[in-house]
Amino acid sequence: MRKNTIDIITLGCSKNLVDSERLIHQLELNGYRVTHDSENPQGEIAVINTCGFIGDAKEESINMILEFCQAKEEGRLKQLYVMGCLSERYLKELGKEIPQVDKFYGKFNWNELLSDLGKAYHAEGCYGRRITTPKHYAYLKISEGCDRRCAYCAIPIITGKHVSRPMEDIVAEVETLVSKGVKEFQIIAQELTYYGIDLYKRRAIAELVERIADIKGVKWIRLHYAYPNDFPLELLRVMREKKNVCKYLDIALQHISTKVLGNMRRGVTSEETYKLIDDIRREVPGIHLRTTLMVGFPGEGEGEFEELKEFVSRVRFERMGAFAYSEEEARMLHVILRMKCRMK
Amino acid sequence: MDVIIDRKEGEFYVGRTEFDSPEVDPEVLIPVSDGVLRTGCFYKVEITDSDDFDLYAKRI
Repeated sequence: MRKNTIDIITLGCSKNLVDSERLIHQLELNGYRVTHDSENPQGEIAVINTCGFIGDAKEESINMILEFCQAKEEGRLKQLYVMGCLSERYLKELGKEIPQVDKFYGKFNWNELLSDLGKAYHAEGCYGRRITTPKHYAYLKISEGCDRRCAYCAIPIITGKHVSRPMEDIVAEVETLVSKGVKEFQIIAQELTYYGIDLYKRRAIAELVERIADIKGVKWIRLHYAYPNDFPLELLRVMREKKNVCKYLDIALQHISTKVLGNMRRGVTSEETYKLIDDIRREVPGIHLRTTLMVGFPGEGEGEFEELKEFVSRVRFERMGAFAYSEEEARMLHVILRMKCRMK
Repeated sequence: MDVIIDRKEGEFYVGRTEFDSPEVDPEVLIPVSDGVLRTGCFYKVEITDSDDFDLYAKRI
């Protein structure tokens, strides 16, 4: 157990990773040594940045918290803090069920941890990060939250409404990261294509990507988590014209049956989805599409499943993931927690 | 095609094409015996083989 050393443990998605990287930067500005390796914790303080997306992710987060609680009970750790999506969603319940944790923070108030440690939050370094990925690429979070209300997704409950970062801030961050050797940028958001609506009253993702593409030293830009409804077609021109924008788009389509898409509250039909794919492939020759599809959503019968299979064989996505519907229930957390506590 | 080298792992350099995102998409494996490559640099390679998920390539 090293003095003045903090372990940051990140679970879940790349958006969470960016939050961890910002926290690491703040802790290092305050003189801490920070490690980011869950396999090999070394410090006297640990911070677990949790995921609260689906059942398996919640369970993984809780298992990790309990593992560190045990380390604390055995004297291998002095202080334990928890932040992130799981604790944003279940703050009160977690505090009650796992009192061994010194304090739970939500997804957005982790900077309070600094004052709780008797340290200062350096506002001037608010977008500063210590990159934990290989130094030639970095995730670039352009917005937070989501205004969509997809029936299966807990993210808007956890992250709140869509908030775009000002374009100038993002451009400045890219310039800083380029100066540190980053060549490839993975652009991420809960809903990429919604960027700008809250801040500029228009979809501004095309303009943002174009500005980033024009920054000297940016070799590859990769776009993640587009949404098919009201897709900003201007983005396709930028993707076609800018050589450093990868001919790659990660767009979660979830299903093709108009009935299932309606049940999911996706705001898009089968016909519109097929047309969008045709538009993308026509406007950006050679593009590789990545999508995720969900099977087993309530209301999906044999016919709708056959539609989905037909869709997959017709479109032949270059990259694709398929997931079974996961029932999002607060009760699940309590069941897992009680089970774990009884086991101890 | 161009690949960026992410790391060295055992007997291979592990890279990605423009069409592959880190962590989720296939990787391109280039034998270390083909010569020294630098992490974070781009190289032209020719795909020579594949398995269920990843591609194998040689530097050209």
